[in-house]
Amino acid sequence: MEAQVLGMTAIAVSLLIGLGALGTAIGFGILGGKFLEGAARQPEMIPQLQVKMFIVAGLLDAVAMIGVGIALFFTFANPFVG
Amino acid sequence: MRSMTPARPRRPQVGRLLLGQTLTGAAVSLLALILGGVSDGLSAVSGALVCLLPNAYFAWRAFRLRGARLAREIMNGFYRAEAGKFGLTVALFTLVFVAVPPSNPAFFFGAYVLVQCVHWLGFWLVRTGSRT
Repeated sequence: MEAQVLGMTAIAVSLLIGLGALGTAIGFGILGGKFLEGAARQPEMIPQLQVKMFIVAGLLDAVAMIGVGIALFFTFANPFVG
Repeated sequence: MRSMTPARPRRPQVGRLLLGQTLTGAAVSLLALILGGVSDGLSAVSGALVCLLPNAYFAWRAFRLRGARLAREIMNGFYRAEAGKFGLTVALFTLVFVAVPPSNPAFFFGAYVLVQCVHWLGFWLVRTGSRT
């Protein structure tokens, strides 16, 4: 029974980290593309765009990072195993 | 009457965001210290630090390059900064869980999530633009 719980936890952890990273990567790809587009149109706006990109990047990966934390908590201190 | 001096680029105040995160982490840690004692306070401090250190690295790395001609380099710097932040977060979580397991995971994750949520106030905390 414990082995089954551990196996399921490993699958859950890999999904949490993998899907979080995938979502962040897609978001960052779109964000970077838009940044380059905006920079090509208005190069004088690059400093403002850089700051806005920094803020949006923080919003983008916040939930993924929380997922990574929960996944590592399950890995190192699994609460489902007695 | 406003003066008609030309616009001057100003450094972004990203430090204010990091300061906001530090203050939030300190407040949560203080609350944990009062409510649960020293061990719970340390759990909250470690949670806040696990969030704050990768964010500081990201801010440092993302704003190393500045300038209108460096759009592609800035973009590559952002990608590297994000990869570094992800790796650093995983490494710090692992370090905390292996070396100093938090006595109270609720305060640890509470501090982590609250410090992370300060990013949602980023548009208010970080002001950009030019001084006119």
